[in-house]
Amino acid sequence: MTKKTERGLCELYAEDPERADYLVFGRIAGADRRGFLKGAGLAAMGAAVGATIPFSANMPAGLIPAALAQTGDGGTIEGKDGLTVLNDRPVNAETPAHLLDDDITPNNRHFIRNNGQMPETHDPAGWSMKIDGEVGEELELSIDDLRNNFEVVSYPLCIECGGNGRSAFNPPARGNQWTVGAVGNSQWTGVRLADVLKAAGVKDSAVYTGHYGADPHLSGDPEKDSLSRGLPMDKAMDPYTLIAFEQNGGPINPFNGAPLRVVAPGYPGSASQKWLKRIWVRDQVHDGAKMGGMSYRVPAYPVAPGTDVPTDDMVIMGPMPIKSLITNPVDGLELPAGTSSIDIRGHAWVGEGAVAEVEVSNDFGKTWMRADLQAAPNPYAWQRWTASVPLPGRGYYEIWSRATDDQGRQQPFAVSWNPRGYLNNTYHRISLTVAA
Amino acid sequence: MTTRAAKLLRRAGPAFAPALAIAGLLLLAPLAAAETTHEEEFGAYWPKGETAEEVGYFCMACHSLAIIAQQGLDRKRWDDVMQWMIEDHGMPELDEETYTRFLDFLTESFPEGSHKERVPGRS
Repeated sequence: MTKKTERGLCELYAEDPERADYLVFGRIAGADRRGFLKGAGLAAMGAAVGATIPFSANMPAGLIPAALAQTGDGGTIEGKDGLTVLNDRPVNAETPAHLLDDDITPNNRHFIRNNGQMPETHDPAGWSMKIDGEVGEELELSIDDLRNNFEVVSYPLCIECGGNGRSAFNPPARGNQWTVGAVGNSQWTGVRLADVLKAAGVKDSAVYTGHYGADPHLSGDPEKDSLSRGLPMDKAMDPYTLIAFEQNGGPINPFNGAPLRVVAPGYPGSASQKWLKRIWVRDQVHDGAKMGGMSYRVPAYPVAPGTDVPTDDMVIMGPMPIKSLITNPVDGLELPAGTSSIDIRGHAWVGEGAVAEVEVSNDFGKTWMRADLQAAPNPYAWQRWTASVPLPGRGYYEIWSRATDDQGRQQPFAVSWNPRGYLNNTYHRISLTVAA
Repeated sequence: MTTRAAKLLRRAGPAFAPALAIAGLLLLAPLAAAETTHEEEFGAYWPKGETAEEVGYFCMACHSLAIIAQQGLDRKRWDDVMQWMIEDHGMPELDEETYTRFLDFLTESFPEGSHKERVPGRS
């Protein structure tokens, strides 16, 4: 396998050095720099690649790895504003809660969760996707085909990463340490996946969809998929599950899947394949990359924190649970002496059904008051809530929010632990200080 | 910036623009900056030492070190992570000595619960 990868890369360079540079840039921590990787597959690959990078002779040792490994302070991403970069290869960035205040999340404030490298192109011209598998007729569709042959619909839809909130797990769960901002509610425009599946003549044998995108695996191995998850047929046929080609009325942000992606609101974000190239309709539960093992799966029964759960006892995550976020004011605000109340606001959402109630507390949960909650413009959009909270004197306050869905399920106080750190929907908390 | 560098930048897209921009600058000033600091190369959160550099280079072949430094895991879970990388993500097999040394390094440098102070972007 290693040999195959090496040959593939060499061929890539022979064919188109610039493209190859793009695909492998940074993956050159090779023998000529600090002398590691002797004999390992990557060493040979790194050396081969390093030798053919046009500028390599001019580069000081380690510069590229430094540039690519650099994260955190000052890490900025083109087309995004104010996001916290957790990781830059693959790119993973979340939005601080106070920057998620808009009813419709602007492109530059929508979180990024990538599993692989960025695709080479985001150009809608020439882009196409395939529908195959358990269908009467395989379809190959351009974006114009989708626009012209199917009803185009547009909705605000909430997408949340399944691991949002992972940083609160104890014992810690491995993966990106998301706090609260791996969620967004952009206006998505596209066609219903159901309409496209029907046009392809989806068969009764269909059980699940399997999605494939254009993002190469981090290792550069063309045989591997970064991510290939899917949907049970009832969710695939939901009228709000879209194949989307616009975000907020314009091009989709490249990091959010331009030019074509699935939007399966309510399900973990990984079910909304970005840079969509293929939907394989399966006669079994899809078994693509990150469908099995411990990825995007949770124990079938409650477990004690830290439990080693056998893979066979893990089940695929379904809809995301009820959750709320305080988006104004910003956490840590200091208020002048004499301030007696503050208007707060935020959003609440749930992966199925609707939000029925949002409550806030100013006294660490001893008492709760009901917030004003707006109806959702459509299913799967987050709902705006507002409240005026009294601040009876000087001191340190925490404002907590908790939502309840229309089936009576409420956000919990404590994390329901699972091995990979999914589905944390505990209260959102911000702090305020009123000066003396 | 040279035409070639500009073209590369354009083709590379936003994700890698910073690296390529630096590469482009180097074409103009190839003699500048002969050495980079440990922090520039690995990040402030990455330990120093020979094994630290080996692990750093090995892992950054595919992904940034930020994802490692975000974790604080016990030895068993670090072992699971390494197995997962080998089985699912194309990491080359390591000989036993190297594997153990790398696992020791990860366990000692990023022990359980230690991640909170190292979460990138929040320090």
